[in-house]
Amino acid sequence: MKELERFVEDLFANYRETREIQELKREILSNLEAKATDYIAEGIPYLEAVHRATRHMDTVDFLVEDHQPVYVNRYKTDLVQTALLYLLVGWILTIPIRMVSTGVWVNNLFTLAVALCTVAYFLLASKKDDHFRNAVSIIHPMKLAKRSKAAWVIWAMYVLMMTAYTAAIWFGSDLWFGRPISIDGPYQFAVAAVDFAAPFAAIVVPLLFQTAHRLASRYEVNV
Amino acid sequence: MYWLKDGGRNRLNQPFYNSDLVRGNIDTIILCVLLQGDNYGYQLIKEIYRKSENRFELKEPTLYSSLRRLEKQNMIQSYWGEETQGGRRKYYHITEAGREMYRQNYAAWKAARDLIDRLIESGGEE
Repeated sequence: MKELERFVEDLFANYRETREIQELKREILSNLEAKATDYIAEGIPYLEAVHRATRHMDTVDFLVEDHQPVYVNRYKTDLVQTALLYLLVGWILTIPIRMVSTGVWVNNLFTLAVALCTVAYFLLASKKDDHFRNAVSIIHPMKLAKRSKAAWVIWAMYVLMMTAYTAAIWFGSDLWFGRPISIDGPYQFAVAAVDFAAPFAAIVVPLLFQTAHRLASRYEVNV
Repeated sequence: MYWLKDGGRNRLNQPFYNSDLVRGNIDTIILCVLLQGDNYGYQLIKEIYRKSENRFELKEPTLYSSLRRLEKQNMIQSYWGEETQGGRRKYYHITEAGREMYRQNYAAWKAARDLIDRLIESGGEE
């Protein structure tokens, strides 16, 4: 019953494939199969049987113990280091757009973020004693995954909105201001291009949320 | 089959029983079924449905959380069956601690039931 297998895979889509999860999947799948087989024996059509068998299983969150101990300070240091890397790339990429005013603003923001991040990184990296390095804390990978997903959605909405807004300002100029916009040279073109491109720089935010989720498993405490 | 009927509900589509009272005793209900022999998840649901005379259908989320709780407390143990056809099933076996827990819970329930009967029965002055 391929449908049931897919259903169970989807139920656990947010979880890492640990032994515990594999066992749960197998148990739930075998029970659902037994139930669907019963329904089919009743004469219920196949797809309807699958649907009925799965109707009470909407979540498995309550079954999974999603408390993962990690070496929290090593994790934080790595996260800040990755953030610094992303911000540096962003900073370098936004240097050329300083020729227009929006660009100056965006690039300055990156400069400030790089500076803050550098300070944070050196503070974390300078502490080398075992007590600090081996500090353990509980994190919830599930929550991190959800946050990462949310960050991507919010970023996409932000980019869409800003693009629509910029387009309305630029190409609706005739309507709002009563005179057509004129792109009469490379500078004017660059101003327009930067206005459109600037919101994309915010991609570092969802990237960092994603990194926070990805790095969590690297600093897992193996008991 | 009996299993498909949406039994145990009155005209307002409410169960005839107080579901909170039942929910508080799920662990004991499951232990009681396992006293008769080892069993796997879906069969437990069916057996409980049958014992309730088609009035109480245990939902999977409740079943799985109860089984996990009982297993963690060492009241039951699980093992994989050796089915030759189809997927292998996870069976549960009641431990000695589980039997003891069942006895205690049953005694406590009987005492509470007697007490509540005394307290809420009106003695025909309805």
